[in-house]
Amino acid sequence: MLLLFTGSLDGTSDRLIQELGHRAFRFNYNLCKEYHLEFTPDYWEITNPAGHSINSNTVTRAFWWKAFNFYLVDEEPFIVEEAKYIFRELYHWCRIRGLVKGNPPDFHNHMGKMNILNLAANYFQIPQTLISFQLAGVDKLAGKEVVAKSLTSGLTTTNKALFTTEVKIETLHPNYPWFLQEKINSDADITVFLCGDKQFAFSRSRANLKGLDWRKEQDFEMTSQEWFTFDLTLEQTLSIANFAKNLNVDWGRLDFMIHQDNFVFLEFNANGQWVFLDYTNEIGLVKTVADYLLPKP
Amino acid sequence: MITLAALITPMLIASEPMAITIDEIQTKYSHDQQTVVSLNDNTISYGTVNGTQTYGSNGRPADSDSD
Repeated sequence: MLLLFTGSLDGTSDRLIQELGHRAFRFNYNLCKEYHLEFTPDYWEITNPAGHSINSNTVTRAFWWKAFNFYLVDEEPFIVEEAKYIFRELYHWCRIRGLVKGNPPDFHNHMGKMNILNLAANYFQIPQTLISFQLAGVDKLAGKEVVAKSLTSGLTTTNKALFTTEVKIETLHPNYPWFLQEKINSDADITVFLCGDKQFAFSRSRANLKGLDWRKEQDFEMTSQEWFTFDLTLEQTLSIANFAKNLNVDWGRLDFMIHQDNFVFLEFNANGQWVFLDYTNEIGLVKTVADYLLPKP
Repeated sequence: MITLAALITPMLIASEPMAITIDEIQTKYSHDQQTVVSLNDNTISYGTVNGTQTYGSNGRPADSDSD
């Protein structure tokens, strides 16, 4: 049985549960107080209010999907930390026993963007990239078009996000950390979803984008298809496979742009969203992921 | 000469992410089905219930988890 660490409002988890049925047990962080949990050094068992349960003998796989992106509402901070501790400990109980699929939620705390770019340069072109305090090193970007990006995708106190934005380096305030990258002029955004030994490549035209960042201009009403699947070349497939092997992952999303017919690697998202790439389920991504997470006996 | 006050900061160029807000009354989590269900017909619903937008039916990246 798959133990799915997530939140009750997560649509991706809804779709996975629809595919997996009661071969999966959904443990929602934001509803954690509704579950019965028994956890000892040599045994654990979780039962939900409907009577579905999982224990340390029946779990065969575990997957963490955005659990802490949801919140315990009106809860004492101390209780929040205690609950998070329990979730982490259960997840790592599974990890220690080799049951975990996908990537841990704190993957990028250990393998940040620069380390990954350094590794990716062995397989792809990469853009000139700089993290800087006090604007140290910005002279290396002189004469180039430059974009500012976010390392963390964190929100400001006014709940705003730093999307990819073109900047002029001479206008940057020195008293802030900056994540700067050479702007790549490309006709399309490319993303490759890695799921086990399978690679799914998608392209999104940049022709009608008003800005630089496609995430700002999505069609949430799904009135038109934005991402289109395409076949990778053998060389691209091998480069991605070797990159993933070197990074020791078999799950995640690689983002690229195309420059003069070459893939330019932008970043690897260890736990990037993927359902939006196939929201009509024509390709069968949900089933592919379900089979990856918990192969049918 | 540009003064410090005229320079841009990360907060100055940040912008509001796209958001979906779905009426909380429309959906409820079912522990039996282990999914969100519609209160009207007990079928699967993909509301995010005032959630933080990323995790709707399409897993679209647009908020603090914009990956």
